[in-house]
Amino acid sequence: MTRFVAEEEFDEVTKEGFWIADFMTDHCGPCKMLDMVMNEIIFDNPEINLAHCDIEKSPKYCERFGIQGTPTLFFMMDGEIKETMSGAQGREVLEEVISRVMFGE
Amino acid sequence: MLKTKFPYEKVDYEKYFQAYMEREDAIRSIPTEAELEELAHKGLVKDHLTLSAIGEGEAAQTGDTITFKTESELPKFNKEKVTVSIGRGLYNKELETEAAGKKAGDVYQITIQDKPVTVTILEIKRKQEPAEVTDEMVVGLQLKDDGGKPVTTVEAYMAFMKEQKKMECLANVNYYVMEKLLVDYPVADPDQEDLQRLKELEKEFFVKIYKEHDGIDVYALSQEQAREMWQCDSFDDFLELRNEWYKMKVQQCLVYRNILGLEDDPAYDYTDHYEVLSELQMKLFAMLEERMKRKD
Repeated sequence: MTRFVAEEEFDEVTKEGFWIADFMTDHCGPCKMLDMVMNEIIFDNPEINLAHCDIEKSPKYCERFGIQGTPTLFFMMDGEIKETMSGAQGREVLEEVISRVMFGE
Repeated sequence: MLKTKFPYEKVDYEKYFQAYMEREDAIRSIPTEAELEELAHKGLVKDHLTLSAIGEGEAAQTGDTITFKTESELPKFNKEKVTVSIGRGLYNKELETEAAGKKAGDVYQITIQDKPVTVTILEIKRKQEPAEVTDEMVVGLQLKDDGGKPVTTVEAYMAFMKEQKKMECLANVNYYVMEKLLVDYPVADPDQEDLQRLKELEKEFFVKIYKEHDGIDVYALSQEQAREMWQCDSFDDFLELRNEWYKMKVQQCLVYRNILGLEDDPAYDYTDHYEVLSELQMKLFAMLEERMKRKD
């Protein structure tokens, strides 16, 4: 499941289960590339939640999390940030992190 | 009229292109129309899938979402409930492969890291796609095309996604090849007039863009505002800091012009207008696209 999440609702939305928070803007090329990969991951794994966090529509994100560039990903379990990643990545790299955060080593 | 001379006769583009194609992780072809269609479709329906329990006695298939109970000495495989869509090995490849063909209630054993793991299948769900794709679904994605225009119809969405994927493939090859070429074909000393001209072109470009997009007069900014935007004291300082980029732009343009055989074409004089580098890149992408079309 994918949804757009504003900074004010971020904690409430991501407090339970596994979430990937994708800090992005709608005119960032690498964000679009990452989107294509994420589309496939979410389609194949509907149990994974993806929060699109537009840092231009919600600039407070940058201040709160120190986001330096887009895309930046947070991999979260029950509201806790377990791992972070910057830049567009391939499917295998993303799945490795997802697996680690969802199920442990 | 550009002054810097490219100090090489011919760039051996083929050598670098082939080196990329021989890499293990190389993208060797642009997806076919059918594959592009499927990718775009997945992106559109992914938020509208429903998961329903499969019929009683029905067996699991790859792609189904299964809830397991696992028992073992290994903490990762000793869980009351764990849910995963089987097939990609996000939880464990072998455990998931074995689950295909099993039914709810089935119990099986596998060995992971030399330890026995008992797996009980608690529930099997299968995803169902919506009966049709609609413009409302597209609007929900909040996409904008490269011109900043919202993508609002299924037709526009499919075209947009296909183009994105195609460009991604081409950009991957180009990034690899150009990175190597810029090292192996250095242009040590670009002409100062060329660099100055590129700086002027960029100045015009930024002044216009900031004005049109953000309503900002870059010359009216305070020192503090300039620091916030560019981490330097003024717009002129910002341009000055980009000197290395102007040198690289000269080199990139010269390399592209050489590869494309456009060295004598005045339309691709990079001191004449700002967009030359992008135009050269798009021409190279067009050449790559032909090369990387699926032959089957």
